[in-house]
Amino acid sequence: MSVQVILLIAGSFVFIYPFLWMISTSLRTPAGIASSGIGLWPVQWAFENFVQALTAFPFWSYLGSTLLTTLIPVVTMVVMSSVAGFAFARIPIGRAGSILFGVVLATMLLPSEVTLVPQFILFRQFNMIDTLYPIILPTLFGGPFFIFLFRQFYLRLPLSLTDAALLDGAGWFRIWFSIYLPLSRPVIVAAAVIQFMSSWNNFIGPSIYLHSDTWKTLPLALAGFTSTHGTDTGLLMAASIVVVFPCLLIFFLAQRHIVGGLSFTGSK
Amino acid sequence: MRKQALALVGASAILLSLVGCSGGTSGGSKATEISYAHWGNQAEADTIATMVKAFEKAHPSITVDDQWLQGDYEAQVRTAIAGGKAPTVFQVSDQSVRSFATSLQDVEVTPSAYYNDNAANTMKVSKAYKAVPFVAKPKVLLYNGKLLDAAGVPRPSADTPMTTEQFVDAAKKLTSGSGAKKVFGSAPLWFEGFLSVNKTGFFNQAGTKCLLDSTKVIDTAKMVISAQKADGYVPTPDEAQGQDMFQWLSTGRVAMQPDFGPWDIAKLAALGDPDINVAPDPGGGEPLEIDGLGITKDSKAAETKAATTFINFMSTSTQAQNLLTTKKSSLGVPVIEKSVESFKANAPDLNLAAFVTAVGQNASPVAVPNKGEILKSFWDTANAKTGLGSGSDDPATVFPTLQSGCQSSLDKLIKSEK
Amino acid sequence: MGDIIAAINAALTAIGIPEELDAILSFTIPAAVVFALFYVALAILAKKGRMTRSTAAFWGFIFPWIFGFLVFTAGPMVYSLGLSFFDWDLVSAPTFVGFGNYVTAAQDPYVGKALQVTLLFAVVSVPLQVVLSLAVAMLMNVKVKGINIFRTIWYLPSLVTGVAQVALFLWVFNPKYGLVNGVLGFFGIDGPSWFRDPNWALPAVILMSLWTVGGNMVIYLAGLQDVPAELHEAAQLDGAGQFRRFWNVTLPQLSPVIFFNVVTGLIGALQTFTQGYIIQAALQTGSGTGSSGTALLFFVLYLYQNAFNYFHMGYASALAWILFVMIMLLTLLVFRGSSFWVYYESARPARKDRVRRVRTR
Repeated sequence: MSVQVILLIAGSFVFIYPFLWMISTSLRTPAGIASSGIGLWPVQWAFENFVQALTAFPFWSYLGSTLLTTLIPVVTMVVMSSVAGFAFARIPIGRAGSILFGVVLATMLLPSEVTLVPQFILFRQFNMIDTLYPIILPTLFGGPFFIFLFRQFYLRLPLSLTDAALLDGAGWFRIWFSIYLPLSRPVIVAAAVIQFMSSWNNFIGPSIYLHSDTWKTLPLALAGFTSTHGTDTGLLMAASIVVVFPCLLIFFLAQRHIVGGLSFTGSK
Repeated sequence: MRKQALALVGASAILLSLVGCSGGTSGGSKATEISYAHWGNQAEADTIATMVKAFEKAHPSITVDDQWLQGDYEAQVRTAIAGGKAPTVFQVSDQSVRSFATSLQDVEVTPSAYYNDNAANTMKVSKAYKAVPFVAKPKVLLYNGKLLDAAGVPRPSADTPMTTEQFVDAAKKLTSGSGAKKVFGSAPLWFEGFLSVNKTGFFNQAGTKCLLDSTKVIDTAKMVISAQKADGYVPTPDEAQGQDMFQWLSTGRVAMQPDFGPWDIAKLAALGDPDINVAPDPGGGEPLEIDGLGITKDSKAAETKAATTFINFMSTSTQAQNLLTTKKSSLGVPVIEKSVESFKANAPDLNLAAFVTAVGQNASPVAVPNKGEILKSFWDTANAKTGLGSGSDDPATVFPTLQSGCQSSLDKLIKSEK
Repeated sequence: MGDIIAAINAALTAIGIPEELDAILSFTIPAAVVFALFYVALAILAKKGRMTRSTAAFWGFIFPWIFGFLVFTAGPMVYSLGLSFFDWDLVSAPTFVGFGNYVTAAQDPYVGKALQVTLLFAVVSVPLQVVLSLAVAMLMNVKVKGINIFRTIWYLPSLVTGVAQVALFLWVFNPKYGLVNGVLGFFGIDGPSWFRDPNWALPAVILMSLWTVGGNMVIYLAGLQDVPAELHEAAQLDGAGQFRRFWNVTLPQLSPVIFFNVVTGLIGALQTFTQGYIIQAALQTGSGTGSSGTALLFFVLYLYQNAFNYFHMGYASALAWILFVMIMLLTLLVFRGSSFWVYYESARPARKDRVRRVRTR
């Protein structure tokens, strides 16, 4: 037992150290960084790094864009995937349904990069370059991974729920909306968190479509920051923390539900 | 099912209204709006912002959307053009104007408005002017006088460039100490920069041949490699990674910096140290960069008119050109005669005249189409195999093998330009 | 299609809708029309009795996903296949080149290098991640007070992803001032230049990817706790030691989860882009002699460069299809291999024999 505990503590320390070092560096001045080496101390409490990180570029505009490209997909992906997942799980359809679900599964294995170039050409036709639409629109219709999650979850719920409702003459939409959706809390939270992280940190999409300041997102701005302010590491670390902070926040708020929702990913 | 449809409509309504709220481009106001894209570090961006404000004040009927593109500037501009959302005006360097020529309108340039022929000539692409010269960014030698005095090296002349040999000798003399206390004779040597110093380049004057196997190019490579070795007179690439050479020089870790550009003038003046000054670059000087402003081909008539007013203002008016370098921020050297005095007056204690002379004496390398693509495999191999990067092979054996690849790339791109 | 869009735009301006909304409306209006047609058709079919209410409901529920799939996935994929037979730079007219792009790709040294880098990264980092996250999950699977703190500590770094993670690790692996070489220095080892050194750049990226095992650890933890206690007890009663229990009870129970993670991990690893892009950009600033060269030329990065730096759209499409086939083959391989080591509780009749064989081993 104690070997396990020692390993745990030692491993955790090594693992978390870069994270702590990032925080330390963000609070140091350039002179401090040059002389501090790899220790976590001393720290000059250089909060001006954070101030500069927030003011060197139009932070609030970038934050707004990032929120738009994150919150909208979170809502639409979860809702639409739930709808589709429910249909696959509960509506009796026969062979067509299983074939279609096979297609969904296959889509899950699809690398999104195959659609990179043609989607660019498509959005160019609609004159949507340098707007947020190319990043948001594809997420309005549900995604295969979440459809899979919801289907697995709904399959485990008792069939009696549906049967009773059908006997009462309820329509399928009613059944989904009033019965299944409220019960899907763990999966909703898990899916929402996963989608949030994926959208928040999405880089390749913004780097292709967004150029002007009006619609830039935070990760894109951070990348630009890396090349123009690359020599001030403290500032860079502060900017990185600023960009990552909302993810940390979401995590702490949703801790309990993450594990619960994800435990359906093995097909038992 | 009806509800689902309603939900979808509701979602799109929300999307639409959000687009309407934020962004705020005016749909029907009287001012003509143009967009202007540029690159640069913080100081350069601040300078441009001030100039843009001056323009808007002088021309209230035109608003300029100042787009500071960070990261890979050229790729972003190209993607914007390809996506049909090109900025009305965008900044180009003398090296890239040829690559962008097909996307730029012809503009009118009066060469006599500029005190130097270089300025207008670099903006010409096969007999048509594609951009107006806007700012000159020559490089000069920044030196820390105290370190020079201590090592017994004479301070560089204020107007005569030293030879490359003199530079290397001085740098070697100035290098002392070891480990964390090592003082370097010079900041890292920029390979392409020193090709110009040695009066050669990657391509011949006509822009039709690669010169990778020429003696001068190989010798320059050898020079740079021996300089950045562990016992050399410049910091190794590892030591220099992520470090600010200007800061090293001002704190006495480096004695000379041959690629000091005018965008740091405000920082230099703020130092207020009379012993840290500038002098002409050695040899032929590092490449003279001239940036111009071009107008996108597909701009509407009203925007083109506004854009023309804008670029002429930025290029030829003293109101704008005087702002190119101020005590607060700097971008480069003015291209019109009348602003030169105001440029020099920003720091009377500093030898800013060296910048002006460099505009006249240093050459801009010949422009070839898509330089990045042509030299890509050169750089990948040179970095992998020779001491320019992390290898140890002799450039004399490696470079000639890359010559034919470079030449065929160049030929292909010249052909497809037609 | 461009003409339809132009016609819609003209109509919108005629009604007086501001220009900024043109883009989104020229998409939404046709989409709304398609949806309306489909749902009306469904309603009619259901009313007339030609389709049961359930069937109509099913198609109604699924249609949004189908629409999105066709418009944003299947359609573009077919288009890109077609595009791969052309040479197009977006501004001039496309020229037909047949299999020319594929031939060029076969001879392009960068393609070979990109495949090498990407496959190496995937094949090394994914198993390492699985082993590490499983090992850590097992360490965490103790009901000790305060164990949640450790679980949080290990999960936290997986929240620092994307650009921020790369920025941090550029600093952590900095050859002169970074954490890794500082620690190595303690042991008297002169650390390599990491991202700058062609031999160490990829290992550095692999190490970087190990930092985010927290995400998978959580899944394995849940899986471990799902293993029925009776199985462990039964094994113990039979005299099985800790290792035998792990090998014959825990692993088979976890194998579906592991399998799933391996597949998704591989697919994700083969699509690596952000790390390669940012590290290359970061190393290029300065005196222009820095870059890891081709050491981090991930396949998607090379695709991106061809599409958006050089604007060889046809060639990039060909590369995309090569990547796609590669991923499919690899996935197929893993799926085929899975029947040998993945154990499913709910065995379908055809699999019964295989399952029995695994169980009694």
